[in-house]
Amino acid sequence: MLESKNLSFSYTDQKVLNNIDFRAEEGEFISILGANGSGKTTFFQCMQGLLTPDAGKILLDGENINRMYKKEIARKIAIVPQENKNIFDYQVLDMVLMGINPWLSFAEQPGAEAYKRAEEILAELEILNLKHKSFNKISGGERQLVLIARAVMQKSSILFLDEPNSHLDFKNTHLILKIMRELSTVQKTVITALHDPNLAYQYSDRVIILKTGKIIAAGPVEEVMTAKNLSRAYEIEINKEGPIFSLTFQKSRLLKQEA
Amino acid sequence: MFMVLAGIVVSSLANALLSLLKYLADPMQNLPGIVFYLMGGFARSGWQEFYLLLPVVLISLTVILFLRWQLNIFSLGEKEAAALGVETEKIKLIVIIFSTIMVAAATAAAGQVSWIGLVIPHISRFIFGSKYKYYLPSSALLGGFTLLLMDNLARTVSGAEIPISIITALIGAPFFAYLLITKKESGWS
Repeated sequence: MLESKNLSFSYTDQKVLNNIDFRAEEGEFISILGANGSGKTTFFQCMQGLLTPDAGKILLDGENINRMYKKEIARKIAIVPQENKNIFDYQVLDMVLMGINPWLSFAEQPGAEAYKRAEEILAELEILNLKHKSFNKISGGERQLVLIARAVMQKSSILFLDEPNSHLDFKNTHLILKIMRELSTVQKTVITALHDPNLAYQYSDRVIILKTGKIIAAGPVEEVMTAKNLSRAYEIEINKEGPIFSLTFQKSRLLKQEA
Repeated sequence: MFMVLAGIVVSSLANALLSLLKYLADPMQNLPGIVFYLMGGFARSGWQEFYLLLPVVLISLTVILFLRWQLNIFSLGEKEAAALGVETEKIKLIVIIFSTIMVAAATAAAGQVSWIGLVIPHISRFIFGSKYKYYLPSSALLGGFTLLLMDNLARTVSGAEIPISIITALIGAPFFAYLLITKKESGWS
């Protein structure tokens, strides 16, 4: 279980997170929504133990995360980064094997069992055919799947995804979120930052909306994801028709001038 | 950027100290020795240097080889490595200490031979891949082999032995420029 109490964080003189209370239970799918610059990424990095808060604390299974070893944290929290090419290329199988690292001792290498498990996970995600391919040369959707396989390999109970669909097409976005949804039902907690409220509405159990470093709404999807709350978060009028959120922009000034 | 600037500062400081050493040295007795040493070469190294260097290199290389798995993960970037449970600060410290000892010992034995350390690991990565299990030993062997080749060239091209650094720079610099221009996308830049 992961929770933050009165979490505040600032970069030099600019306060980015302000008094955030958050709690993630086992088996939940939680989406974090908020406009650009609302503090989502900073919140994520604090919750992952990568940044130390100015005030308040973050507890991972009751222990202060900032006093834990990286290996201990990595046994409980896995991070699926936005898919990106590596500077130095590795085979897909090697990338997945790296997930076993928190369970190895200091100079230990992954053994035959780890290789077997990595192949099993790749097979479960239906990408075993990629195992000897270069990570940099497969498609963006495949790369994201490999990073998920690595997170599964990590055997941690909490999964963080930072805007998992940022480089993905329509099909791959839904494929990744479907897999994460399935993972959350096998007692993994999935916490994801999303840009699209419609995706959050479709896949999450609970939603947290951030605005200028504060939580403005939090709770079950149906309660929190209202047109009113979203309009406040994104500072534009948002309408809800059935399960779909939409917005209308006024004609831009540029076009008005041309006319 | 910070690392580049830090490198410029440190090298300029070291150069100033070196100039002071040259200035204070006896121009007939010691100065030629310093100048030739700085150009690098194996003319003055023999078995004594080899036996002195052997344990230092073997121990340092073994320690770094032990960390090969963690170094693979480290090469994905510091944040990603930390998220995968790599104690990045500890690994950085160990690798910096042992590689510095190794490089210092090699430089003390053969003087300043430029470009080998910059070009050979890139070629080795290109041929053997990024996994440190293969990348580290292959870089060491390929480096040694290349130096042997250069040393033979240095001894045979002209009547007198040319300082090896001149040859490595003449071949290494254009080759590295070629790699930078043609292999930009695969992390060579």
